[in-house]
Amino acid sequence: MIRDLVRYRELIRNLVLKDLTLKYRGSILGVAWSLAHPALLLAVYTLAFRNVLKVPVPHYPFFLLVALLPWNFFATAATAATGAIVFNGSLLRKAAFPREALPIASVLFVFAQLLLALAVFLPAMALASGPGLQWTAVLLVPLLILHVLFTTGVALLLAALTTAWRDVAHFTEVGLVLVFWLTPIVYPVEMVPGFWRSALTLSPPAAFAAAYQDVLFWGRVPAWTTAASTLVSTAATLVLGLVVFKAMSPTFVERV
Amino acid sequence: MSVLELAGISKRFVLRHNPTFDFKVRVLALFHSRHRERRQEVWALRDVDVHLDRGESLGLVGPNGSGKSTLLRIMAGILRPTQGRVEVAGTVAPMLELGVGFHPELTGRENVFLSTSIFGLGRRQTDALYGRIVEFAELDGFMDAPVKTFSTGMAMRLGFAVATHLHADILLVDEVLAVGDRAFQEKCLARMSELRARGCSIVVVSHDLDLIQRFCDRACLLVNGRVTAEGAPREVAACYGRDGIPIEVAPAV
Repeated sequence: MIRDLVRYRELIRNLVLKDLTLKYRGSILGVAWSLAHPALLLAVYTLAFRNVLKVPVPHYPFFLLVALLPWNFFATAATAATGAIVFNGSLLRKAAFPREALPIASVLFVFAQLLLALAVFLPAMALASGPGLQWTAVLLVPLLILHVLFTTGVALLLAALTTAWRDVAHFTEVGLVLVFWLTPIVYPVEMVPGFWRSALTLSPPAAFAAAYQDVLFWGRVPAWTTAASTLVSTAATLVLGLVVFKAMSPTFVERV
Repeated sequence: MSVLELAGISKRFVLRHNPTFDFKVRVLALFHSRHRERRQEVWALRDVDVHLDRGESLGLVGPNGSGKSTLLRIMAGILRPTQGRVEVAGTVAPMLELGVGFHPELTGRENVFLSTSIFGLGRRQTDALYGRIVEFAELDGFMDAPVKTFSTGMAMRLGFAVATHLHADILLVDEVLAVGDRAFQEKCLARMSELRARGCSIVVVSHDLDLIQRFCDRACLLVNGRVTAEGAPREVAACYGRDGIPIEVAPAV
């Protein structure tokens, strides 16, 4: 399978380029939309959680930024993945390329937008008067790689399951909203009462959020529990996603 | 030397009447048979043996629903047979449609690179072929315009040019020639003859018996998922009655 994907890396690249081209071609603001969207979210959440609900975190917009951008990547990619196979039926019936290319391309398409947003917001954060950026920011590189792999595992699983049960797409949509509010992104984990806090550290999305906040906002190396949770959950979802996808992919053509 | 060998191929599809994923409908189905899902098994192919030699062209004929396209999809590796064995020695370029993966908003150039990568070509390989594809499609000077602005003929020529420049060992052609005019058909047949002369094996599905007789070295007649005649195209075409309906004949040995 890996060899197939290496052979078809050009296909993955072209699918990502196609989606990016189609997204921005013909729009006046073009790429700026990928920045306007998170900027508006940041403004609204800051208003609601700093000014209204008084979340006790200094430099709140930066705190929010570092975990919200990666979460948006994960949530958007997971949602897109549910349609990656079922909305490409005509292509599946016409050629025998490795089916993994479709969900992987949809993850990388969303990831490209995360990188773009980080490329603008992180320098802004380093320059603005706020928490600044510490040396731990270099840990962002392995963290992003882990996060892409984790998201790819989830995407493969969702893309395959949706072909058998279309409910998976609806379930994902609702589930992501629930998980978002249960994950310490807009509030710090310290605000969560004792028992729930320890439960939260086991949740992979919470571990990823904590890791981003550690390396970019607090300027510290993530706790070993956080690191272990991201590593183990990435390996587990990737294996599960690949196994399920591989097992189901021969019947995709007949299901979509 | 055989490049493609299909042995004992059968393909079963499950047709679902009233497909009920919906919970509400499932509950209703307990009371009213009208809502009940009925599953029907359809054997699109039954025990089909086909082989294809290097540089040979094989015509597949038969009425609609006889399993020709299913057979082609199995050859292309898109469908997995329910029973039987498929052996392919080489690369396959399926032309089940002209312009696979083409997106109307993308330019001709972008579509060429996207489409060839769907068939597993790398960027360098496409770079090397690009000039010849554009030349064959007679689209020099149009390749930076979105394909949605192309005429039907231009888009067809581009799709055909891509599929026949992939350097595949086996080319599978499903009825795509029927959509073009006379000149397009002639150009395509000339290109296919050229590929065949270079050792490419070609399978053509068509209802056009004249085309099959003109182009193919051998033909198979499929009726209800079984090969009912095989041999010289002229003999196989003779199995069709004057009304265009295949005469029942004993299965080929």
